[in-house]
Amino acid sequence: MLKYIIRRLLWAIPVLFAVGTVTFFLARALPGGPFDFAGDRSLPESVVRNLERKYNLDWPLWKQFLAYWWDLLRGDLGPSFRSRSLTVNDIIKQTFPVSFQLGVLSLLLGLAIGLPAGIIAALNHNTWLDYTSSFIAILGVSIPNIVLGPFLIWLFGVKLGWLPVARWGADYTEFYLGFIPPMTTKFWQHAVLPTITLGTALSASIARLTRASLLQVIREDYIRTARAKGLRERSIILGHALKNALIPVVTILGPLFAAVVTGSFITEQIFGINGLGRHFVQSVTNRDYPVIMGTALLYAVLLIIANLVVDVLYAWLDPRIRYE
Amino acid sequence: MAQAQLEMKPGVRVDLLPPRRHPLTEFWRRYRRNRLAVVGLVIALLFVVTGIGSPWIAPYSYTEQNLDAVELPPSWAHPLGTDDLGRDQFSRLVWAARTALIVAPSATVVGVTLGLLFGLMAGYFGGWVDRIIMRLSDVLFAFPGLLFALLIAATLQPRFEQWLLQFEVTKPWVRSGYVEFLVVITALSAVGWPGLARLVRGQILSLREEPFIEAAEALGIPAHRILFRHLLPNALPPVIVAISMGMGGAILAEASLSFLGIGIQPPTPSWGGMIINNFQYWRKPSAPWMLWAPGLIVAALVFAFNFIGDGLNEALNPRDQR
Repeated sequence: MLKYIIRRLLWAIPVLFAVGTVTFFLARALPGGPFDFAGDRSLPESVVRNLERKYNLDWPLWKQFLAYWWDLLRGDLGPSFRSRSLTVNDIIKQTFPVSFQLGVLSLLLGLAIGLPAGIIAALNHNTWLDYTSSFIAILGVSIPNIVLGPFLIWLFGVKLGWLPVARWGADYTEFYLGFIPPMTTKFWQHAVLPTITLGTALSASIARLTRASLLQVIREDYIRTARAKGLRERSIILGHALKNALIPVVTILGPLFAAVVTGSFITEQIFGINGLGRHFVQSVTNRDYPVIMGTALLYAVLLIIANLVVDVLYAWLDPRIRYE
Repeated sequence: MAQAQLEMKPGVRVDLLPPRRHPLTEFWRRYRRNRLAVVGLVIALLFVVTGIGSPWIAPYSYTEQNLDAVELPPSWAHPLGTDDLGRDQFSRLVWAARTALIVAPSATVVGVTLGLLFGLMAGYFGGWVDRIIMRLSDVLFAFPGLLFALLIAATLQPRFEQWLLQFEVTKPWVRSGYVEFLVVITALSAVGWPGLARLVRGQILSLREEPFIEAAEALGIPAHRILFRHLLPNALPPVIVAISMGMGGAILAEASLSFLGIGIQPPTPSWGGMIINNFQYWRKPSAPWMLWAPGLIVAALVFAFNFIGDGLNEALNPRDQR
């Protein structure tokens, strides 16, 4: 098992290098450059040249490429061309925790709604309870963020005026341990709507998966054996069925979390959240090469770890699976 | 065969045997049982008809501005009101159906073709072919999908334009905005194939062990024939379901890219673009009609294709005989 994990981690290095290389050249292939505009005005030619020299953009591309990896190996992700006072490391330190918090909260919401809904649907298979919850689940999967987010803003932010609609994380605060926010009322007020926006689809897919998995397990022989032994229905469900039915659910949490954190940029855009995804989108528009690179690499690390965790969890939870 | 033998035996009543139906009839009989899947199919058909017939259905042109009729509420002249430039909302929605109808199926078809081809090759040939394809998909999996599509789209746009301007035939495309379609289709299909390739590969790996493939190989049937005549049809059902779900996903991805401002550019109408354009006005409680229409349509279509996927899954899954 350990050998398997080590091999996978070693394989992650060339994957990361490939991701970085592709991103580097794609970013450089974007038309225009980072210093084409300053606000609404274009900069004088000489200023642009000076700026380019400052950031070594006048070097040949291969030299810049090598220099980037050299800096990266020393943990330096480079400066941001747009937010001149910040380095990419600063930007990640300030904005990634916000994306992370959004991801964790949405995942918790997804589990809190999805698990019970899926279990109730499966235990009442082919009754109105099952049909209703399955219908709601597919409804939840289908509602896009770009529709739900603005709708929530309109309802709670504009019509009712209960909650703030933007600027979560705009005022930079210190996070405990680097990622836990201070639990103020303001934080929760900012977090509610984006969490619902992201968590709805999540809870719906968790519910669907839980239901399907539990239905399959209930038909297994060992459940019939447990019934034949005369066990109480409750201990059959809790002790035997659920434990096995949750294996695929647990294993999908990794990629779901990664998908939520990397996919939150639309939600961040809608609610004006100062998260990492929004910076990525902005950096593409601004041609802010180091920010594009830094965020893409960070996302890649996240996705690789998530996939590895799933495979390991899978083997750990299901003794039938063995990796050589 | 079995039926023919039974008929010859005296005393067996043939009408007790299950009626033999054409596979398509049988498929439809099973599909129809899921009523929501039928609803989904109707919505999808409506979408296709609207997309094809948009020049005849839309009462106004999608670019026609009327600054005397800005942000009008719904009326007989403008069934869904007008937007911030006085353009008829209903007409723009209808034209946006054509945009989605061009982009989503093309992106799905290209993505699925690539996924099928790579998946088949990886699963059947194994060895270094498998390794190269899977490593490639590893790298693509390490990219967050839509972000990668965004980067590709932004990079491709000017290159495609320059390239198409060289040819007399394609020159008008650039001016009419069809380049964006090409860009979005390329970006979405580049991101879309690895998932399907893995699905197909898994299917092939398990099918390869079946005796009928061994038999085909023993008979000396060439590899391409085994691949496309024997393996592919058996691996298709989950792929068809994935295609249907993928259509909904592609519509949503196109809308999301346009929502972020990197996809279909105005004035070409796109539902995602309309949502972001009207977003600022959505905060005005005085203009709620700008809020509902594009959002509801995107949601309904994703919904429809999810249901179709569910229905196909039930109809094509042989383990689920009822």
